[in-house]
Amino acid sequence: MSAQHTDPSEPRRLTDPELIQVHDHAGEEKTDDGGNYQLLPLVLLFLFSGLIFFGGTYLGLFAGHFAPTVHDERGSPMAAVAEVKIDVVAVGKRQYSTTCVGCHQATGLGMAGMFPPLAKSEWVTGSEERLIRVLLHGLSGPVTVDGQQYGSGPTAQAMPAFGPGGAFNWSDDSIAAVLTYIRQEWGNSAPPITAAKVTEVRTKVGAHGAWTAADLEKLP
Amino acid sequence: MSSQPKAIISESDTTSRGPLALLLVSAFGWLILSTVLSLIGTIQLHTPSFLASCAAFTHGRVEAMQESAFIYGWAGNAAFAVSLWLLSALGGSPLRGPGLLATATAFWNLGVTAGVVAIAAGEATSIPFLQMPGYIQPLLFVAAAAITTPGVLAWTGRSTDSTYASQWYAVAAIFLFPWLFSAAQVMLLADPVHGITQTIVAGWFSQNLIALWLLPVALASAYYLVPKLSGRPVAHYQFAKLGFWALVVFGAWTGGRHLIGGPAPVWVPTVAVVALYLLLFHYVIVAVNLPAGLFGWNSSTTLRFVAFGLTAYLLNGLGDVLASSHAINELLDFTYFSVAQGKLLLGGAFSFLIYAAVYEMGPRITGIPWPSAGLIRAHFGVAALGTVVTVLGLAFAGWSQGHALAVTANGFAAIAAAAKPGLLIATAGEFLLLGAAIIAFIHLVRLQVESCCSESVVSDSPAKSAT
Amino acid sequence: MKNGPIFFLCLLASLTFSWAGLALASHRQLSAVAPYYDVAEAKAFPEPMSGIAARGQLVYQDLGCASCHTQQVRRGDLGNDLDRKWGTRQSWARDYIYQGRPQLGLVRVGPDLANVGARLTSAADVYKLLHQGTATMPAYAFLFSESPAGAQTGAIAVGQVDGRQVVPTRRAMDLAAYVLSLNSPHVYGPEAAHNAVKPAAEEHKP
Repeated sequence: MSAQHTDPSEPRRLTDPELIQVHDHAGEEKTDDGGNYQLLPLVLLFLFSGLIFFGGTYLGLFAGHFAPTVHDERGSPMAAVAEVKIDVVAVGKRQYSTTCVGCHQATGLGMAGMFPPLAKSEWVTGSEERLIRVLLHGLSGPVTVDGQQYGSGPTAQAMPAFGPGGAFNWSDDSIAAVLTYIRQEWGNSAPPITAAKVTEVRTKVGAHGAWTAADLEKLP
Repeated sequence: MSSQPKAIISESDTTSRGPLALLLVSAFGWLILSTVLSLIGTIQLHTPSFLASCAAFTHGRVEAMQESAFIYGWAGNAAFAVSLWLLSALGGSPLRGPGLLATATAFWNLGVTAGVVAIAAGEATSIPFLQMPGYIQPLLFVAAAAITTPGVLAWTGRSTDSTYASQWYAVAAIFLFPWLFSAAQVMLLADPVHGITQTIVAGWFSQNLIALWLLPVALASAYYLVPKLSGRPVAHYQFAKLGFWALVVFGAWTGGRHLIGGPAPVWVPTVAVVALYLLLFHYVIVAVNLPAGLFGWNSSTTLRFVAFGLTAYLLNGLGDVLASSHAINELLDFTYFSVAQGKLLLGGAFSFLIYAAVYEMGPRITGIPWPSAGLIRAHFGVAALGTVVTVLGLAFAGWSQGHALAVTANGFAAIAAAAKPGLLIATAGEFLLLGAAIIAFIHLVRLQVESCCSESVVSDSPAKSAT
Repeated sequence: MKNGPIFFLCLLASLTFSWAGLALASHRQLSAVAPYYDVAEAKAFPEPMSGIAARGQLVYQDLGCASCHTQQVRRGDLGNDLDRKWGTRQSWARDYIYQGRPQLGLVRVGPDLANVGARLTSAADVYKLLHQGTATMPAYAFLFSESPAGAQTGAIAVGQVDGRQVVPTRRAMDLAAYVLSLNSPHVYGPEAAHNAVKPAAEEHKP
């Protein structure tokens, strides 16, 4: 540093007021130098407009229309969302395995004398309306399934109501799904039951207590 | 410059001496601590078992402590000191309320100390640049508001109507910081937003903390020192205004730059990429304005600090743009390369421009020249070498790590082995940086001690003759 | 630049503008992103974090695990995250809606953990990693304590030292629950549709 002090080529330092004054003047410099345009302002102008143009284009192309679900520059929120295909049997199986399985068992064979089987049951694969009513409103009293007698004697159990107003309050969709599942599982192969059919039966019958086998056998 | 006796030392410099010296000494103290922590963290990257049995020094906490000590300890204190001093010197008005300023500084440092201790004890928030726990943040906010107020008053109460670029940058920094800081505290800690929104807000905060607080102070220093030390006005000064507004307006939108390919909606990183490109305009204007600083390697040591800082600053701007392109981002995202970028910007650009300002302001606030020109040169040499070695080491480690990561068959042991040479180089660099920080701290303390024993008024030369 | 109030107003405006555009806009937009109800599974995804996992997240953040582990999977044509079996799809914003403090991370010193719950199956796996460490991860000895052999601690012992059994602390159990809860493989309808990209449909970005 000492060398610099004595060095006459060392530039003179500007004082703070000088610093402001010098630049205050510079700020008023005209960009138009006597009719001849200076090159630098033009270059900067081109640079700035170029960057703005690039930025705008980039935003338009790669901002995913500012949608919260677009995570890929090339994605678009306008793309149609595929409708989720519901596998009715899978939904029914889930319903069955959380609720019905306690009585009718995973094998669909029920328990002798207490819970009737669903496998190879004419009640399951037979009349749609009967089956829907059993699920909607429940079933009590003796019933004969596959030649065996259930629902009478000291071990008698009743089927609870799963429809609206019951303890389970399942939707028509859920009822249709679980019925379709039991009609096609364990070797059963009856046609599926639609939610529309469940709705139809439910509106036709309205609120009702538990059925007896005798009531239902009158139905077609 | 014996031709200018008493030259630039004005009353406004010496009245605020106490609080400014307090800010500077604490800043350099924090710099030493953060460099030690950074060194520990880098060693742990290639030797994971280093200090691992101690919960307070587990790698995650070391990084959080290092970041807090660097940002709020070193950068915060130094940015306050430099911006306040510049505003007071250029505005020709002494800083008001030096007592309040000193008290607020003490509380700021108390807060940062408590925050770092809390992180060691396991209270880190895990939010980048906002690691200190929520119960300490209000104290920091009040202290920051009290520290920045005299600066804003020095601007509004300036003696001349005309203003200079350094003043814009400095006043923007200290005026915007409390707003930014409080908004982040509310949205991230007091009543935090959830999910990815939180990540976006955290990105907005951390980028703006750099772009609207730290970098403006560094640029204020560059715009002040270059014409002053070179004796020539800023080239094409009429564009400085555009450069300033380009930084303030576009820099504020870079918050999503680390979310490229990440789980945020794609418009967030896209906006950040556009903002990074638009910032090129700012960098071009800085380069056009300050060639005397950029190429000032052969003049005084102070100007050499400026040259290093400005070069790092422009390189970083270019690096940001390049790293945001998908081809490079795919390779270098999630590697040490981003750590290297951070070191280049904060340890290179910001710190060197601040060192330069400190070497200018030291004699002006104390009234005596720096005790040793040799120590300034040594500081420059060691710090420059340390920064270059650390940044290149980490960049090399990141490059190797990225290539190793890209091969699916590589396990993490192989990836770590690939990155190890670069990390070892970076460790050597960190040792140099620690040496540099200690040199600067000792020199600053010597200056303060000697100024207490001497009442002589000298010129504003950066160092006294023939030490 | 001579006009004080206008200068301050412009400064504040540019900060506020970016705050409104980034912080406020994303807050409004992403708070509307609700759990996705999958009719086929009759369940909403993602599933909320359990209480013990949420406590584990606090351990994760206080140890700063995010400084070495990311929790974000990139899409198939950006990096090899999917090839590394870190996930079956890109991470989407919806995956994080229940996270009070998402831990996205910035550097991958270790593997990504966004779906680590699918790779590690039991707490014992997590304890083993934490207790022994790996070539690239230190052992977290302070997350374990020793108790006399045979003592009923209610925790899985990870090893024996001098006839005493090493058991995870409460914090380690919370952390393991959190780590095991990290898994979001579910494909949400809107994201799947809006990010479906036909290969080479458009030029690669700059």
